[in-house]
Amino acid sequence: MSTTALPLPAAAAPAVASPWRRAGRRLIRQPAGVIGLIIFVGYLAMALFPSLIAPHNPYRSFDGQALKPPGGQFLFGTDEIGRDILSRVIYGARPALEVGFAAVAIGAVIGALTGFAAGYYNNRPANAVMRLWDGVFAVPAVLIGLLLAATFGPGITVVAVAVGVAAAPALARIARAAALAEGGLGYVEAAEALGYRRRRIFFRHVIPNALGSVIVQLALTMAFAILLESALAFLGVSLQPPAASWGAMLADSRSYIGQAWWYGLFPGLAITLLVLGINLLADAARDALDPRSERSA
Amino acid sequence: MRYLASRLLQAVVVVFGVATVMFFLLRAVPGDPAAVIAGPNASPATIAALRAEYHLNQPLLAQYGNWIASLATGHLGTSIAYQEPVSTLIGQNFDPTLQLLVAAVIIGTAIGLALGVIAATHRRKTADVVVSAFTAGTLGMPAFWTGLLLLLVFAVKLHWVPSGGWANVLTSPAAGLRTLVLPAVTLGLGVGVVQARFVRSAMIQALDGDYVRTARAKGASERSVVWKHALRNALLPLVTITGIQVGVLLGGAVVIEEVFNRPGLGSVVATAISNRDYPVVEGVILVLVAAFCLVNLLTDVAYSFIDPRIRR
Repeated sequence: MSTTALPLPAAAAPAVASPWRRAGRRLIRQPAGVIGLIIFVGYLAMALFPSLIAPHNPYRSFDGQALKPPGGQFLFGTDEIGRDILSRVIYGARPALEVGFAAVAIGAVIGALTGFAAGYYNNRPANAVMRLWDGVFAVPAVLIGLLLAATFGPGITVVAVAVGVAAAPALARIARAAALAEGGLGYVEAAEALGYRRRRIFFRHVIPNALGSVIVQLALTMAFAILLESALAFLGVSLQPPAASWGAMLADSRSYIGQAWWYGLFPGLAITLLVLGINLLADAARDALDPRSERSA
Repeated sequence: MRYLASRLLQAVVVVFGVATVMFFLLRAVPGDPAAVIAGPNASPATIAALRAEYHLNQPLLAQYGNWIASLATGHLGTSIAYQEPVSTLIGQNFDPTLQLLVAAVIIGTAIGLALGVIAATHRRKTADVVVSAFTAGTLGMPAFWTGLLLLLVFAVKLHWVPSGGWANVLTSPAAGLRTLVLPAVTLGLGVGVVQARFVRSAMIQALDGDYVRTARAKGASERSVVWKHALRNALLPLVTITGIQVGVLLGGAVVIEEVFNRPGLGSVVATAISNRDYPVVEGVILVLVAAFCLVNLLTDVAYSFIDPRIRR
């Protein structure tokens, strides 16, 4: 982090760990942060190496094993055509996290970046984009997903874009407020007085310093993305069968709700645990990024 | 008054902008709606006739102009699949959705207030920890899954309520409530746990306020301090959050109506999207967006009534 790019008065910090590293240390000192991290890493492992973790092939129908309750060789039971639900839940981590990461990336670029620009430059085009986000904010996120899926056909890419767009207004508002606050601080004025180009100040100083408050929102965006993807998959516009997707599994489970409680239980638990883990991580990150928490840490 | 006018103008601009974006987006859809209505065995002549009937053969800008002009006079167009005015279709399906949303807001606010106040008055004690664990867990649950679980327990296993359908609460209250309770609790729970977090922090702030110390000093009972003095000041953020949550509710209703096989605007729009029934999709989404803008407008107005300092 090039936080010392400006000639600051000598009273500035002596050699200490960077603020990001200190925040990281505070993060892992909180139990909630550790639990969130463990959950998240676990899901990451499932998404990266599903074949090493899953006990069965998620697409294989075992003969005569349809709708078997949990137990024996099927820890989470089987679905209506005899596929292992545990394996399908494990394989479902990949599309969920793919949409999560893609939506965060899209939201960061179109939401956070435009918000930072609106806050720092505060000019007409930047503010026009903020008005656009006001408009997007008025459309319920599920409807954005349905609209884009109707336009470009169902699929995981369309869903990721839709989620990124739906998350952009909140990111833009938070980023704008953070950049606006930075712009009023002395160091930005000092850099301008020193004759640095505004673009350099924007990318080298305003964004790194305003990033803290946006990072938490980016984490929450991932949780939002996973929930929204599952809802869209439930409505049938995300990943198409036979791919394993938590939302689609829950949609299929509806027809067997009276006979196979496990079918509708485990995919939902998988979503809930992942979102819970991300939220815990985000909450811990919020506390860790707040320098005032140094004392208590 | 001036404030209200500018907010109203803003809402109109938003609705208009959404209408425009949606119009061009839906026209980019591959697939000819005329061919969809005519069916797989229709002759090219029939399809051409249908295209002319729905003005689908006109240039895009002319279609857009026609549509905006008819919108301005309050016409939302005619459904291609049902051959009925979109406004009729919306009218027929409006009540189930409205009743669901109102019930969800009531249930959600009750949950949010109760949990938030309990957590704030028992700060860092067992009750606070239990409430925050409950809200954190519920925040992770997709609403449609909560709905499926409630359906499994209360409809399939216990047979307390039917697993779907709808009846009008106003004309047949008993049947109406039985079909309303599960979907409304499902939607309301999601809203309530979000509100609970805001109520908790607002209440904690209020309970630390000077006026609460004053109220205690003059001998007001703890109950009156909490529910009268502190809560009234903590209500402000709740109003804003509820307004924003209505957007979440509108989207949630689409999914929840699907879970409970309940008629409503959500299922109308879902069906219309798969039928490529543009006028219906556009009409319903516009109505939902307009409703959201209206609610937020009312929220702002309510806010300025509750807290005169905002009127400036």
